[in-house]
Amino acid sequence: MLRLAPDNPKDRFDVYRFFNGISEEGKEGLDQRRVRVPLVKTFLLEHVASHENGHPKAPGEIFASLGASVRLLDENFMGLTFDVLDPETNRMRSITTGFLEQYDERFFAYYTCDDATFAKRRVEGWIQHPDLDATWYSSPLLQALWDKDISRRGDSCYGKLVFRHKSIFEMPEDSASIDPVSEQSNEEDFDDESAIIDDRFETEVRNARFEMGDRIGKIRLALRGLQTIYDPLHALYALRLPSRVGHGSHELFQTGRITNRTDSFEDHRNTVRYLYRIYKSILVSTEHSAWHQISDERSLQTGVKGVPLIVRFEEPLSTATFDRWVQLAFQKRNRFKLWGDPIRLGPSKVHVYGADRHLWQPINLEITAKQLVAILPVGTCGNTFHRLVANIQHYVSPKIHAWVGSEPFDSLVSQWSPNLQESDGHER
Amino acid sequence: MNVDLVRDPTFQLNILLWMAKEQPTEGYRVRPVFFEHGFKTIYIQQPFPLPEETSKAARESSLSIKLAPEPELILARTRNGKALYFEAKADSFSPDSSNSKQARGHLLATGPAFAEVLAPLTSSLLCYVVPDDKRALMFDCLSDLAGELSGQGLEPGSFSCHGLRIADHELIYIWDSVFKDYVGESADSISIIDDLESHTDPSPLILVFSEEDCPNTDNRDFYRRVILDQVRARLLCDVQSLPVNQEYEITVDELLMRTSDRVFEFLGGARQRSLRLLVRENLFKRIRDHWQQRQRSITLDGSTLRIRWELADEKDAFLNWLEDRRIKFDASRPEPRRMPLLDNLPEPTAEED
Repeated sequence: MLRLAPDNPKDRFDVYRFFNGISEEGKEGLDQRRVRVPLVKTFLLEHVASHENGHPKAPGEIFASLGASVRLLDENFMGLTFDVLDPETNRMRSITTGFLEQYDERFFAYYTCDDATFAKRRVEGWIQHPDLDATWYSSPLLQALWDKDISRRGDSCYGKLVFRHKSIFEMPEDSASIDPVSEQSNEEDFDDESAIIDDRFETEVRNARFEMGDRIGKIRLALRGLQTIYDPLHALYALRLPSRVGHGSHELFQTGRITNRTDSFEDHRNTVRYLYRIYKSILVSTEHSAWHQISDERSLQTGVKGVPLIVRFEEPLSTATFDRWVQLAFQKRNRFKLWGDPIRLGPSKVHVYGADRHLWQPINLEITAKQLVAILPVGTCGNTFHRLVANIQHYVSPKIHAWVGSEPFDSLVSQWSPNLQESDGHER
Repeated sequence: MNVDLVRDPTFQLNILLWMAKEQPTEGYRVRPVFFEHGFKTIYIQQPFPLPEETSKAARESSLSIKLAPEPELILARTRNGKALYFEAKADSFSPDSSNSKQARGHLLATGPAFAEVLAPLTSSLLCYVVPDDKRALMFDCLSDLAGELSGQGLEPGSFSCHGLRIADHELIYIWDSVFKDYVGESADSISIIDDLESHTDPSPLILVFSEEDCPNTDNRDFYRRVILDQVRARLLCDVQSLPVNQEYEITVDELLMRTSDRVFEFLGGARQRSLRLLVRENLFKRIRDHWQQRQRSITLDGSTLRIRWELADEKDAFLNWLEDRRIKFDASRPEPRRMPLLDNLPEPTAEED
């Protein structure tokens, strides 16, 4: 079984040294065009459930409830040990699968060198818990990261952009039947690391899996032109960030997973913290945009909920696709993690006065063939907006026009400070 | 397209709220005309108590005047102290109508009394919103009522009449020259929703708490369904995090307050009673009736719902049931019945009813 942690680390630096060793070995393997050991990867998580009432839980409490034995190495850094099945002995063993760093009350980073499939499965289990969610680097945010930062890191550096779009709700107009289980099966082949099975039945729906790996200067020259002629190239799913200080790169995926392809864990951690500060800044400004106008009104008890998120689709959905989306999007297992009972107001219009199933906070939605309008109560967590936008571009309409209140979403996610400092009062 | 919608006060108020809501210049859901003019919502459906002197003078007059009129909505533009004071009506009415009592109150509220009550705001314009074809009649009526008030030495404010009309695929909002001068608008009317579709209710998301019938005959229970769905969602969100062996206790009023962000406590008494009845009869009682033989710790005592689980399985069973979209809560108007004055009193017995 893979060794995922140092023996009895005394402090976080023992862990850093261990991950440095893994990183060096991993980078060496990459240089030789083979992966010798799983790469170090980080999952940036948001602690969301207590946001509304302002009583955040300690990570130790959250992860203990998820079955972990938590061992503190310092105030904000801890090992997470779980009982896992050892495939060699077929017995359960207690294994330290990774380490958690608390960046502030709201954001945690889980560092691990576990196999990507196992690590993702583990984290996906955690974020079913209402206290935790992934961080959602929606396509507009990834695009802003590319435009404002990565595309300026040197024309000769290698960059990579990954685009993913699959119209999982798309139905041919003449199709009458709706198979409620097929959403899941359609998604199974969607994961970036899954194999393509030639013999499988494949539904004919819009399905774009596209990578641009080239020198940054070349990508920059071509990207905008390509995006104007092919909508799925707006559905940015992952980005490669070349290291600023050494060789290699870091790969950022839409759900806040960052893979280290450098030989330095400290370099990787610096990148993760940079991305964390950007996400935090964007989330705070989203919440500010959604509710700042309300603060005065709130004291007057107008009950005016926040400003709307409006998402317009570049191309209207067909009636059959709209129907399928509305039918599936509110089922128990669905990508959008929404609960509600759609009220039909026309052939392609519904209202849903429901809840975000993940955070269990109310959300009101109007969905038509042309757009989605969402309103969240004041003070709830703004990451629902980012999850909605990310999933709409992934699964419904790759090209969108979106606003929070009067502010374009593109502009909102581009407004992080150019000189992000670690001086935030709550940051650790 | 159901043109009767423009006569529906709930639809009218909801549209006004959307017109004051921050939205993009392009891509708006409802053209945010009032927001664009710098106005924002300060009161929804809250009584406006006339100042002492005005009330005294009104009482001493020979006119029937409501002393705490209840406008649908007040918007304010704080940078120059101006306010818009809205009343929405399905139809115009004559000075002899019972509606004139409240209309006189509105006219007095928007006179000098306004700045006295809502300082630092300095002035207000009374805006009556009616179907467009009733705008002229409404203006005549308000002119007569203002004349009556002035004749008795009272000080009515200025007023304006606005119309709603569906034309082709647009919902048009029309105003008059008084409004144009007051807010600095040059157009006579504006399209506020421009992509209306046949056989589709044009309502944007409902921001109003109303238990009234919807004029759309295919969807008569729509507004009540909206309330029940929101209350159900709030309850579901609350109890998700309820641990086993811990009691959750909530009254109908508390749940409506949480759902409405406390608007409920400021609604008029009749509206409060109707909403309370709807939630208790159609949601709380349904929960009690379903669970009383299955989980004894789920009880309804008067208007107080209590939920307590002793086993994780019980919690799962309850949540699965409440989440199940196939479980429908009746959204028809409940029969009027006596409700306990206080939430914690037991429900009246059948004999008492």
